[in-house]
This record gives sequence, structure tokens and C-alpha cells, in this order.
Amino acid sequence: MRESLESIAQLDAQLLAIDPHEVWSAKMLLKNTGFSTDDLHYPLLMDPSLTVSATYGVAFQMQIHVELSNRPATFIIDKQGVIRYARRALTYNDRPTVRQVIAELNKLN
Amino acid sequence: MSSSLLRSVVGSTIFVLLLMAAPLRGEDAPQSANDLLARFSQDWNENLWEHKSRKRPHGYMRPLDDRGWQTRMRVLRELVLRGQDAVGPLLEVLKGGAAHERVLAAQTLGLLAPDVPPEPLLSAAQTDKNSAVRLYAVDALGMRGSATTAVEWDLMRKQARNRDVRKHIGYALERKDVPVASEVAAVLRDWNPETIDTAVLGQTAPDFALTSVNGEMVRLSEYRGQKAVVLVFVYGDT
Repeated sequence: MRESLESIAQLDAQLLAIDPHEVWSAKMLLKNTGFSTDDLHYPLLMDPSLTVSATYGVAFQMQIHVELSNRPATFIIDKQGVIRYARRALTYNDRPTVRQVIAELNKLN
Repeated sequence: MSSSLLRSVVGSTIFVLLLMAAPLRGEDAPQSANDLLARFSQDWNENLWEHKSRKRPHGYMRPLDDRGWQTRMRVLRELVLRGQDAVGPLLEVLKGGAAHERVLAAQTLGLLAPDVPPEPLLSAAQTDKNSAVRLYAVDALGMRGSATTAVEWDLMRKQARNRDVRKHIGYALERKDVPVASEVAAVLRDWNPETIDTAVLGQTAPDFALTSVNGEMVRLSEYRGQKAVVLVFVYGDT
């Protein structure tokens, strides 16, 4: 994970994650896995109002266990602020690999 | 045709045209909480879930072309805008609505948290037949914060049959009586619903500002001219 974050950083890119919950579930996950919020090496942004998730077209599209949540999705935004890659998951674990993300970042330069 | 007859023909034509136009402009007319809930039920087809995974976490997806989620989001916001006025109708739906309506009601009541009495939420959390309703009722109780110190969370967790409901009781305990921030409902009220689903390939990414789990405020447009951004939406630890 650290290597992939470094590759992304080397390509002049910042990883941001967006979670549709309040902080409590993320804090508990970190606690249960023996980490604290200091161990996070990229911003984990909380969107409990769901407004960003809705703007980006992913809110309420997945039922995971019994809860409704976001459809997983990856967007790549270039330095001019334009969306250059957009992939919305078809299944809960459908996401680009780190290699694919790095390939897409390379296309920007 | 005489001028008075002409006037009445024109007048009644205009009247009829206005009547016909009214349903199209229905969005502008103020709708009651019950109207909003009916609109949600109309657009949200609970049978559309697909792509179930065979193993945990058993994710189901809406079809990519289904727009029911947009109605759900708009209705959620409209209900939150009504504030206290929506609580009564939502509690009625929580008691007697169809399962997917009870889920929406419980979720919305969480966002209206300080104005919601605990007893109906407790009842739903413990006795609703649908595990999603129980889960969201648990969340809503937690979102009321210190108003629920009377809740016997440990006992409720022991009695909870569903693993996900138990997990959410854990989150409610983790809060240590901290209520949902009033900002959560405020951000939803202030959001412009016309920006729904406006992240388009080749266009400027919609700007936003969110707070990270360690309290740092991050605005997307801050990266412009500095770095590209890899934006990953996650379903979170549910």
C-alpha cells in the first residue's frame, strides 16, 4: 500500500477517499485493526450529508450487508480540475488496480 | 364571434392550459411529507437490486441506469428541510410503511435527530422485522446523542440477531453520546439538488469541501494547478 501511495505521489497526484458515514465507523475500523487516524497516509474524507456522493453520482446505489451505501467509484482529476477518468463499480469489488491508476496518471503528463 | 364570447373562450383555454401545466410544475408546489414519501415509493423499485456477490460482504447494486437513487436523495433533503414538521409523518411510516419506506424513514429521522422522541426509534430498533430498519433505527438513536443515555446498548447488542445491527450498536457506543453534528443536516439543506450526478468525464470536477476523519478540512479546488487527484468513493466499513 505504501509503495502505491509513493508511486501516486511521484506522479504529482493526491489520493483522496470519500466515505458516506460519520467518523465513528472509520474510527472503529482503525481501532479494530490496531491503527489510529495518525496511521492514515491520505485524507479519508467523511460525507455523512451524502451531498458529494450524490453530486458524483454514487449515493444509495449499493446495498452492502443490510445497509445502503455508495457505489464504489474512482475518478482521476487533472491539474486543471478536469475529470479525465471515471469508473463506477458494477460489483462491490470492481475497481481499477493501482497499476491501472498509475497508467491513467501517466496519460495526463 | 362576439368579444365577450371570445374573451371567455380564451380565458377558459388559458385555465385548461394552466391545469395541464400544473403536474409538470408539481416540483415547485410545496409538498407535504406524505407527498414526498409517496414520490419516493413511486420511483424506488426495491426489486431492482442485482449483481449479488456470493460471499460476504454480500453487495447488491442498483442498475447503472436506475434513477431511483436520485429521487431518494431529493426526497431525503426535502424531508430534512421540513424539519420538525416531517417527524410526525415519518414516525407513522416507521410504524406502518412498507419495508423500503420504513428504511427511508429511519434514515431521515437520524438526520432530524434532536427533534425525534426515542421511544419509536427504540421500538423499531428492537422489534422491526426488517434488519435494515433496525440498523438505521440504531443509528438514529446514536445520532440523538446524550438524549439516549437511557438506552441499554449492551443488552440490545446481546439481543440483536443480526451481525450488522450489532456492529452499528457498536458504533453507537463508540460515539459516547456525541450527537450528530447539526452541520450534517445543514450541509444537506444548503446543497443544490440540481448538481446531482454532475461529475462528467471531460468536464470540470464539481468542487467540494469535506472534513477528514482526523479533523482536517480538504477542498478539491485547492489542488488545482498543484496536483492531480485520484478520488476514490468507498462504501465504508458497514
